[in-house]
Amino acid sequence: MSTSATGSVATATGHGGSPPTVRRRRRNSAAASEERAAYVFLLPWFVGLLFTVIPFGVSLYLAFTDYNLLQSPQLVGLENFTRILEDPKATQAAGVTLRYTFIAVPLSMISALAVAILLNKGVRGLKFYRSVFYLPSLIGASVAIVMLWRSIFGYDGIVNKFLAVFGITGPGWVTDPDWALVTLVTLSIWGFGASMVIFLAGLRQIPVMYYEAASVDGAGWWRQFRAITVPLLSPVIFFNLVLGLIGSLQTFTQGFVFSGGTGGPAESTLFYNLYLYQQGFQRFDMGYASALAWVMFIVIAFFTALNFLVSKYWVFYDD
Amino acid sequence: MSLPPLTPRLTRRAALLGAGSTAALAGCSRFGGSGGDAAADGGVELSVMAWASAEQATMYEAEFERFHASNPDVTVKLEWGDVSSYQDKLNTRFAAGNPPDVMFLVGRWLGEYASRGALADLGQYPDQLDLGTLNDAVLSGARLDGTVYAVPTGTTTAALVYNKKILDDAGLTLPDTDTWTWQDFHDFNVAITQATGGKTFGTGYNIPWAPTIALWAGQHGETLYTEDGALGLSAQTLADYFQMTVELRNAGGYAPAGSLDDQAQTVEASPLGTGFVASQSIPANTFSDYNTALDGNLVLVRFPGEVPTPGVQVTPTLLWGQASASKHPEEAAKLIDFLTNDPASFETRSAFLGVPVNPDVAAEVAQALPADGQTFVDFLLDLQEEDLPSYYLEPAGAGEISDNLVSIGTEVEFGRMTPAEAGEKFLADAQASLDRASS
Amino acid sequence: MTDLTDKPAPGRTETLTRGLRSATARLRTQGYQEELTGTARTRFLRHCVLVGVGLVMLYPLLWMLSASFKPSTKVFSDASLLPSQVELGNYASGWTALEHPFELYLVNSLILAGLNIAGNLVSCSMAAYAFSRLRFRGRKTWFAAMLGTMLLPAHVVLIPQYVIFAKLGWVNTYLPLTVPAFLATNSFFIFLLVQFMRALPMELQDAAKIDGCGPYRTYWKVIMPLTVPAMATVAIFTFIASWNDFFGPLLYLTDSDLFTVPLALRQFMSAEGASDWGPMFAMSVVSLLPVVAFFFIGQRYLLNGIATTGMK
Repeated sequence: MSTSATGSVATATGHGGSPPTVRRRRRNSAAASEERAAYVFLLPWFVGLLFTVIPFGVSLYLAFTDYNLLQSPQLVGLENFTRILEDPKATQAAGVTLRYTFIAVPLSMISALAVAILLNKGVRGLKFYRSVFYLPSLIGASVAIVMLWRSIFGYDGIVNKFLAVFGITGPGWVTDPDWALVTLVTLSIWGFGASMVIFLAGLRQIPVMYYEAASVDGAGWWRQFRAITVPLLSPVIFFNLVLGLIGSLQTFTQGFVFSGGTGGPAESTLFYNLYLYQQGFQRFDMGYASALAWVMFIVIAFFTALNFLVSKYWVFYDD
Repeated sequence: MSLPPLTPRLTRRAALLGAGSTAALAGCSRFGGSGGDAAADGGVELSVMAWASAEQATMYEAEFERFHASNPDVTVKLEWGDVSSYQDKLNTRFAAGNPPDVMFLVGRWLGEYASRGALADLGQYPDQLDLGTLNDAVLSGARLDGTVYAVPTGTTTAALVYNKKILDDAGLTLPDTDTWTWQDFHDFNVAITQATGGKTFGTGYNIPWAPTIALWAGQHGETLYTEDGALGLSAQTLADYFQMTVELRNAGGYAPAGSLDDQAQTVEASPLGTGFVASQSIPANTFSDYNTALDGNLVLVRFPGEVPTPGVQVTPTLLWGQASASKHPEEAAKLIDFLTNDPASFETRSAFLGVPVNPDVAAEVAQALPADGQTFVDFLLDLQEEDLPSYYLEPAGAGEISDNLVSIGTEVEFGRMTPAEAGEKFLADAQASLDRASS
Repeated sequence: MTDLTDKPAPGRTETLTRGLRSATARLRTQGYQEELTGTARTRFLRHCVLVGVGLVMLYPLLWMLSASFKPSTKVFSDASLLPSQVELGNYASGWTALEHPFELYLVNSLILAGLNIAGNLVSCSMAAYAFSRLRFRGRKTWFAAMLGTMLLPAHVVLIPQYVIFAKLGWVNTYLPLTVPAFLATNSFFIFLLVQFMRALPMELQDAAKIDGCGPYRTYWKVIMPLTVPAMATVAIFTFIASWNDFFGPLLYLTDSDLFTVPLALRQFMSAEGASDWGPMFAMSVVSLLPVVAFFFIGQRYLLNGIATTGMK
């Protein structure tokens, strides 16, 4: 649609209604210009695909090869994928990651939401509290903090000393295969600040008027929460949930630093990503690592799609 | 497309962005400006990759300066970082086709690189790199199918240290550690725990450590890896080893399950340093660090069970390797020669990376060592007089096997696996690792 | 195409956005943000809970602060928060312990972070605007593709990406660490902005259209000002991610004078385990300060949530 056509139509129709064809043309040209604008806005993203799509493609190719990093890749078909099914360590890694995710993410989000609500009510020193809760998530995955966690939960560490006061002999939180993962879960929950900040921003967008009106109507705290907070906050909850899941399923650094890259003790902290990294970089089996990665990709894509589908039923947008 | 009129916010943002980037660009070659340090004057620049702490890096750089002094047309650029990310970086470089010219290698992984053609055949440069000065036993750990792929930085061995102060305070004396048996070891450690009332346990030595398993194998007439890179250990022998450790732990001679944290801590904070255990296993070349941290209270002793059949091996601490894709193979070989055969390169390093493998250099270095360094060198040279089993190059897959060993050790430690099961599982997994790595 | 150099007459859009802005101002002066709800007792209980949680959150950080004042050998053995043996020299020795004085690494990290923030803010907001507020063919597919790029574990694209950058000659420069930010490669932020933008009322956009605002003007004058809290969040998160990024600089930087703070911190640790913990924790504390400062500054924008009461 050319500008001149619209221009001439605009000048031609001084007053009164415009004939249907003209209206359609105007609407089409608006739609076309919107589409053009969209492509302009997406231009950087399109260019950026070079740095994401090409490596993607290469890694997909590698998943079907035997590639030891030092020599050229050799195509082997589906061998890597069938190996995943028979590999007890891959199963172990998946188990560790799923267990970690489905405990840490809910606990972390509940804490984040609870504290955000508490802060949103208007507390003296809100800024201070908010920063205090947020700080841990800034440094959660750093070497210093993970080493510190190991020391706090060590055989002789603070936690065991604290439990000893109550006469409980704590296990080797760090060295016992049954407990090591729990230690990492607590580290994850300690970093709830990032989600909390996002929840707080979302809570701030809910007009106080709604709550005031509800109180006037006699609705209690829980009722208000369910009827006002949750629906209006649902896009943000959804956002945190999706990203929390994706991020948690891809945990690597904490596991790597905590276990010194081994996934120990006895593979109890062998996160899927850590196993994948071991295979690719330490076992010289990049083909297998790529296959593992693509399986993870499919699983995460599945969970995310599921989330999006289900979101129709509980997430409330104003558009 | 024309942009909307500049609002105040946009100008401010643009100004900041502009200021930021010009500052950065003006700074230096951060964005790919001049190559900077590339081979000026048509000289050759070698890249060396190693792991080190800040002080160690200064030490290495001083040596490379000395090399440059005697080889003015060759500059050496050291890339160093911490050990945990070393292998990622190295492997990424190999995969991208621009590996460093010379690099640190560890015995566990040497086989992976050697068997895949990533390393240069060091026998090809007789004019630059003299391998003739090194004895055969030393090179057997770096030889695959007759080709030498790396040169050890020095030799070391697995040994035990005991805290003499704790022993003296408890009124105990070490048995003759050159001939003591595993039973003696058991009894002595139990005695330590009892004499200190459980405050200090006899030992916390590293049970699932490949050198220890290898020496147990040697003592029982077997070997961990054979010369052709196969497994030489039987499930029963390994099961016996784990059984011995279970009994030691149950009797109280070994620290309780889960009480030893294996993560890197300062020596002072480790179980040995805090007096939680009276003995520990160490690579003998680190004796000087340990002893300094423990105020000179340590004695360096051999593992038990070495009589009648010794099993301990003299092994490379680390190795220098050269990439087969290196663009300057002769200069790289010369550098390795300098690091191995030239006494000048040991002036600061001395025996830090093990006893020099060139006997003349070793003799010269031994003269100027401080007391602890001397202890280590004497210990090793005495050992080399004996008829020890040979250490052969560890096959591809050895890294995975070492890690599996640790896992299995943990399972046995917490009673989740019996020694017999451990023996079977280890061997089955080890065989699978070897098969996979060589396919 | 709309002639963008024309200023539209003050139409409903302007009134709406002005109205929203003044509503916020009104609420601010009404003391909305400082309003205390509940009885004195619930307020006290609330404080107790918050203080309790706060202490648990802070304990590790306080520990780190205290560790920076202990001698290296006592860092892990002395478990109390008050050092039994105070070592004031950790900061000084840590500052000069590495090859270059620590401020070089701080400046390097700041430069990278700044560029990443600029890149993300511009490119991700553009992409998010297109995905959330514009209609175009294949929008759903491209959106799914955008999300998809977030899902693949980074380690397997590491090698192919490295090879691409190596072929471009970008190794040992800051280019691989900054250019992607300007190309909207961070799907996390695009997604975050999309969610926030979708929550903005559609009336605004309709009003803008009636006023004759094209998509560009709508982006600039209407949507952007209202997304400030989300943009602030993007800026803060970008800063933190860039500041803490270890693997990227590890792979691509070989000249130590280009190193960033995380690389520098790792250099305090030696292979044998006799690490310089005291100076390392001291420098960790130092490297935390810009992050905390940045958060304090950005906090203000997060606080200015837009309440839509002004619109009704």
